[in-house]
Amino acid sequence: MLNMYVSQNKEIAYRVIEDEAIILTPEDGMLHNLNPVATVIFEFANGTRQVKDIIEKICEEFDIEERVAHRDCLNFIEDLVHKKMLVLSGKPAKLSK
Amino acid sequence: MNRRNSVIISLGGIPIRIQSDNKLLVDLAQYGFRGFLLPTGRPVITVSVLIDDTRDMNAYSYGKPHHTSVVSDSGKFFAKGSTYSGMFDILSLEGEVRQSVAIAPLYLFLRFILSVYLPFKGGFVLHSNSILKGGKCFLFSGKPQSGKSTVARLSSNYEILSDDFSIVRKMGGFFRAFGSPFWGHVEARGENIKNALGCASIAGIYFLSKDTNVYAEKLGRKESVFKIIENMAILSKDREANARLLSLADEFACAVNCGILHFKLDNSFWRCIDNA
Repeated sequence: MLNMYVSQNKEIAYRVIEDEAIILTPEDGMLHNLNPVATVIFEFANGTRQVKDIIEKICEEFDIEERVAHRDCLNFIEDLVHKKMLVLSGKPAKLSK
Repeated sequence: MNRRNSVIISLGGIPIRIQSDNKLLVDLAQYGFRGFLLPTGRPVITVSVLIDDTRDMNAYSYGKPHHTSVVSDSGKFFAKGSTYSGMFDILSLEGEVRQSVAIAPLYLFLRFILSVYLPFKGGFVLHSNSILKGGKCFLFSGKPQSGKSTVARLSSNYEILSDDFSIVRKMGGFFRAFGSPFWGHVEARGENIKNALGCASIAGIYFLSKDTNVYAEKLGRKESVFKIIENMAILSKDREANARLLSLADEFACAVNCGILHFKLDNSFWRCIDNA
């Protein structure tokens, strides 16, 4: 999983308010509130970064141990993939110009 | 489509032509939207009403929630409710609805059109009433049975722009509430709603909570956005429309007082609003 590329689900709309993302999932019309760490993970997932890149980013942003970041990031990413907010892929996405 | 059978109305400041081959339907629309007629003016949106007598009008009842499913595809939004089915093209600004000869399905279809179109024009449709008091407009929001019509009835000394769904738009830098024909219990029981063609600047929005005590509880920005989105009339699955709604909800939450109003069955809640 560490080498998988992570991107946001293109169907969802979101807005960051006071460092926390509010996400509207279209299938069920439900609102979701991500905490600041999950928000950084979500915003960093642009399709060209791998899971291991995100873990490194979290370590830098929040000054936490790599072991803790590794565990928490994987849990967050799996959760957001399960809720269809993030998508994992074996290939990088093409960035739009 | 026979354009001689048509009427132009204004909802949320947007001129809409309603046309049909069925003259009775247009006459019903002329009566049902009597506070919103625009004798002159060029329509922005055109709605064609096709009559389908197989639609079950008994499916519509006052006070019961009406579930509308909305899907979108390449700029076309499709809606289906128990009494109508229709499509609105957000690029050509043309809509078409199949329904029986009745006004209620047309109300629902127009509410659907405004729900998908207004976000692109700085607005939205909200489950709320809107009441003018002392030159200020206040919105009282909540799902069915939350007390919106009760609050409107308890405010009979003031001007009621709407009692069930409010049309809100950002214009000239301010969020304004427009008079709305989307009636609930108050209109249905024949009580007087002053439907106004104009609009008023919104001073505050309060989310209703029936209680034994009366007090207003201030909401933070994020909580306000949650409440506003949760009380939107219809949410489509269109990403761009939803992104605009989130942005508007956030702007709205920053622009007006937002709170939860705990109220009981008298008009003492107005003292809380006045002191907020």
